[in-house]
Amino acid sequence: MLFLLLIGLYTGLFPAMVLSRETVHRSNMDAAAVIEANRLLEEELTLAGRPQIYMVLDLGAHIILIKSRGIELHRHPITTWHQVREGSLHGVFRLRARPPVSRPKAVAPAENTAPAAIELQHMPERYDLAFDPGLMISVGQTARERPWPWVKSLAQEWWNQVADMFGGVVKTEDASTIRIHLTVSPDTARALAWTMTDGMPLIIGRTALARD
Amino acid sequence: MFPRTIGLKIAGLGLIFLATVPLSARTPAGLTEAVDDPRTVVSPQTLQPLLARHATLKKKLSQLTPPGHYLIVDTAHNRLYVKRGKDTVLTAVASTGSGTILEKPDQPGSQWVFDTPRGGFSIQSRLTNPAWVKPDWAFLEEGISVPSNPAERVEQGILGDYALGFGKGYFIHGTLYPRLLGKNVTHGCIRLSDDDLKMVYKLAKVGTPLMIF
Repeated sequence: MLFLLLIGLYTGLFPAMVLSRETVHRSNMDAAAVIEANRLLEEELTLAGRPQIYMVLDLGAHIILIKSRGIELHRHPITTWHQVREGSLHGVFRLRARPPVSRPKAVAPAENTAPAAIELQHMPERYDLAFDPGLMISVGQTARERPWPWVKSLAQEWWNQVADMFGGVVKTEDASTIRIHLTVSPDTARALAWTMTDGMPLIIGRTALARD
Repeated sequence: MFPRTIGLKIAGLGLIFLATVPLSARTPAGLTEAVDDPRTVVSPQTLQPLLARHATLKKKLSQLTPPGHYLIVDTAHNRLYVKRGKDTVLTAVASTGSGTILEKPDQPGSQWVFDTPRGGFSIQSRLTNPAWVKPDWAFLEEGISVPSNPAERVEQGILGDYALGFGKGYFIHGTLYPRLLGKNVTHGCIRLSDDDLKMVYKLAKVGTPLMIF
């Protein structure tokens, strides 16, 4: 009898205890998401107050937004991403230089013929973007789409880790540089490269909240 | 002692309760890193102020949207949009910068780059029947020498009926080559068809924001 009572109390109360703990966890998760979203909004407000184009890399939502004055001008989807080297992603990063592109020589305009020009299709599909302070973003495709560059990037990542381990002995780049790899479609990579300008500001977040 | 029936009822209720609670709610497995991060542990009571702060920040951001019309130019796809709030008032096919280069003859290593500038701008001037004052590169590109007489630089009827300046000599204007609309062919200016140019001229005033990406 007593045994049945204890079983009853245990089975009745234990889920309730776990539930309340889960509720707290859920609140924590929600709160963490809101804190992160607020942090990103605060950083965006510092950029949106000036007449400029800026990027918002939202790793949680898998998108890169091109924005100005808080207005979304364009969004690029990210297939996958991973952060190779950890570090704080808070604050504003500035692009050192846009991906290089070969520029044709200008010729005199003619009635109905389009002279040589740089178009979206001429932009690179795989490139590294160096930002200040200490951020490197690699943009490229998946191993299946581009096996050789993928193997090369893996080797680079491995070498960087070795360099981290041995410090100054085989140092290749600043150990404090955060590295993020973005896997995107070739079209997205080209469009992103097109949009970039030298000194372009970037903010990064991992929001889980729905965007308008 | 409890009567046996009461004990059985309590046990039965407990089992029913256990069965009705979803498995995911009974196990802490599957929680995200954020929950385990001590810096993010927040009691449920603090969520409301955070959400209120979130709403305030979003409102502040939305208040930065221009109150009237504004222009967006997509140089990759050669489109100009006139917008008001979230509504698109006009979508126009444009021509933007070719991205080509031309060496400056008297400055070795220096060159003109014919890109449409990207960034945040505003309309600074509105002209009707604008004349084009040809810059040096226009002559050099055609293989002719740059005239010393400034009057020889002025050409009428090249830029269309209207021109809207947005700084550093860049304009939104018309074109003699409508078949090239939608392509990257200009020296940095933004070309539109006659009809679209007329509409943009009507909607855009001095100070109208222009965002080019």
